[in-house]
Amino acid sequence: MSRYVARRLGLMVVAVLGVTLISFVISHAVPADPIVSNLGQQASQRPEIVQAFKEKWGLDRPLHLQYLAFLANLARGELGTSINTRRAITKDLAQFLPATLELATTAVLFALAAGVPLGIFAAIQRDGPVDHVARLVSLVGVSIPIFWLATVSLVLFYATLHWTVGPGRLGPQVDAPARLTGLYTVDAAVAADWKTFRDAVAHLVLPGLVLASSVMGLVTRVTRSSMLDALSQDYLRTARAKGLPESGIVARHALKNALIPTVTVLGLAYGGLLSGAVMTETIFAWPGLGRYAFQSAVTNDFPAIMGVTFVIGVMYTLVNLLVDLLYGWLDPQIRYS
Amino acid sequence: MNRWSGPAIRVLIALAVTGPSQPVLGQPAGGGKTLIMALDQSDVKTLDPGREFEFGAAFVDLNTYDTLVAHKSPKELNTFVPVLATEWKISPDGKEYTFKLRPNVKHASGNPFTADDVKFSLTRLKTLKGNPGWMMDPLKEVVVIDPMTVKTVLNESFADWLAVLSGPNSAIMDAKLAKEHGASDSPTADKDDKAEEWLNQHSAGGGPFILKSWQKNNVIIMERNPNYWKGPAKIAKIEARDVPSPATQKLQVENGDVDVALNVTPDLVAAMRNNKNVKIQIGQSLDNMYMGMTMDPALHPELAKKEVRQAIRHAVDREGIIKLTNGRAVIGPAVYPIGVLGLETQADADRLNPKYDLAKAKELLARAGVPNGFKFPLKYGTGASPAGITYESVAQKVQSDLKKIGIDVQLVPLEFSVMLTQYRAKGEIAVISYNQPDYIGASDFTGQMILHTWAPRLRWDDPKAKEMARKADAEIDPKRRSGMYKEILAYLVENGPYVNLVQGKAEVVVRPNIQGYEYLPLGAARIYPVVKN
Repeated sequence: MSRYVARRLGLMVVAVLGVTLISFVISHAVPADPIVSNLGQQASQRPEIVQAFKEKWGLDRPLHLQYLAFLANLARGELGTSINTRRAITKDLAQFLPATLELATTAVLFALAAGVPLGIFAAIQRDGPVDHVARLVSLVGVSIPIFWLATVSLVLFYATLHWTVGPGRLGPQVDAPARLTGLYTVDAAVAADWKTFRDAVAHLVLPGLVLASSVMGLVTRVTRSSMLDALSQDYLRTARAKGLPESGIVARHALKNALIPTVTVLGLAYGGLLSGAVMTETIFAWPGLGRYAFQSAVTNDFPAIMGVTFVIGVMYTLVNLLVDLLYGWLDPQIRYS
Repeated sequence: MNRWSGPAIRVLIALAVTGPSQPVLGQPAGGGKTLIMALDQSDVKTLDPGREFEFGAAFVDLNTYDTLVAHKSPKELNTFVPVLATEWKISPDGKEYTFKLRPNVKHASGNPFTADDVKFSLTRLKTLKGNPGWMMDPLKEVVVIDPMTVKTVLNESFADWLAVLSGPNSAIMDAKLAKEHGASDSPTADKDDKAEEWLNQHSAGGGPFILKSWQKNNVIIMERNPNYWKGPAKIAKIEARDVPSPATQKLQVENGDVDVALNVTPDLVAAMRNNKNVKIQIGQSLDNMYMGMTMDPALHPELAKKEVRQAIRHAVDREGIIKLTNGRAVIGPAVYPIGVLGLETQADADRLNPKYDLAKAKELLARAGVPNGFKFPLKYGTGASPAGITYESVAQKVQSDLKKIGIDVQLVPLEFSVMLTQYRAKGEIAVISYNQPDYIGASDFTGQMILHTWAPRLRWDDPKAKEMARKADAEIDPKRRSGMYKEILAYLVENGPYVNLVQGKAEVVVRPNIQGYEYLPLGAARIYPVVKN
């Protein structure tokens, strides 16, 4: 097991470096010039200003040296400085990553809490009313455009019904809790600042649900189909023949096996949410990693693009490793070698 | 509903509802109210006045620093009023501007304001070689005559110097404080200056507000300067929240969660006209959208003909474009905003604008030897434009208008920065692009249209136009100067490569209890006179 983990971690280094190299090549191959997106029309006519800009951001060096500089920074535990925020990318990530982690985790928990039970019941009562509802919910969840859902849910629950609080991580005039982890819920709880805690939780609900919608659709569908598959297995027939109660069969025998594909889907979705929540973050004014990544991409902020790619690569591979380890717990037949 | 998820959702909604919507923390000290603004800050890279060149940053610098002089008001942009300078004298050759400084002014830090601050700030802006550094190109040196008198010496006569000094980049810094945090005005300040990160979190000035913090993509907080020389502002604190989505801004201001929403798009504003919970403040933006056409016959033999470009200017139905914006726009004769010296009023624009006249357009095409029209590709950026209408809808309008005189426009939409990269490479046949002023002075616009920037991109090198522009830029008598720009505009309508398409109006949505908020081009608004009842 530990050898397996060590080997996977070793492979992870290769994978992440590969991802950064590909991202570096692609971002420089795009036919858009960082001078255009970072200097005004007049400034970009002045050779001395353009030269100062290139020197400052190392854009006057050959491409391979720029990539080597990134690697050298990485070896020192640094990611360079962002053109967009003019500060260390590690500081940027420390600010934006927790915001996204908090939101993505909330969304995944919502998706899990709603999607798994719905998938199970749909499978048990196949072609029954619950199954129809589940299929409808998952279809809608998977196919509904997230920017539309985000806007409509804000209009409905925030602006019209006044059931939820508005966008942002905290309400206006509510100060962020003293920084410990950057996760507002955790930091507020640690400081026993329950007002801020409640405000932070309240602000997570609506964007969390919106972001959960597509994942929930996916989880429901996968849980339902793998549950159906599990329910038709021979070992369950044996269990039934032994006279075990149906609820025990479902909960103890079928569910654990059926959850393996669900865990896979969740792992992938979580990785996706970390970088792919741009729409939700924009509409909910959420200062997260998705928006930061998007801004970096459209302004050719190469150092930030590399930093984000690196962190997301690491998170993605780590989550996948975790998923693979969970398989073993869910299905003891799986051996790591 | 599934019986598992029913209670769960009720709990979630209950949690959401119990979230505090009342302000609890962060109440400003010393009384007064917090002004909460929704402002798209996606563009903000830095708040350092020597380096910033973005809308959101200009807003912060305009409210946390003072300048020597200022434009009198958004409606009187060509008159300057004293701020940190009480009076000024321009030498007859237009090269020397001598300023008497306001006595007994203290920066927010308590440091006294002197001529050294002026020298430091303007010199640093030049030597940093940052994005706005070129605005100091005319500056030769700053001479401190005595602690309360300073002289700026220019390389040559430049009549828009006061306009440049009114902009947020010409903010006067507290030199002592800034230097303590690494700022430098040395000739190699682009390498020596280490103050940017500090200046992104603190202001070093004496304006009506003090920058308290900037959390990128989240919020900018400013508090009033209790020692402001005009007396403290009524608003105690500004909380400028970064809300990139216009639809979200609309919901927030309707709900009363924000007092001012700055980036609500015209279609959304139109839906709020009858809402009694908001006021819509309309201001004249100076942002223009235009079409540029190549002057090089090698790139396009037809467009390079003067009569063809004239025909196109007569064939584009610009009243129709104004209708597309629900009437929230005006259109001038060239990429030159109405309101600026030379084009002071709508009447000036009406006199100079090419008239919509299809018969004349066809006649001009026939005279150019292309009575049956021709084809050309038109590149433009996808997405929103600063003029309040998308490039796409204007491009489609141009396409349908020109079809009426037999010209077949092939639309080429591109991601905006890709389009701009190609345009800057100077090889495009025709583009739709935009302009936002760098400073509010005529020379900014003639400079880009005639002397540099767009002229070389469109391969337009016209010695006569250049001579006219240089003379007008140097003329220090405002009346004579205004007449010179009118002549330049008429010349552009006759000969130039531009079709001005739209100059948008700015619409800011505020709550009814906000008084004294006025839209200001290049910096959004001065919050000093604002009151929240």
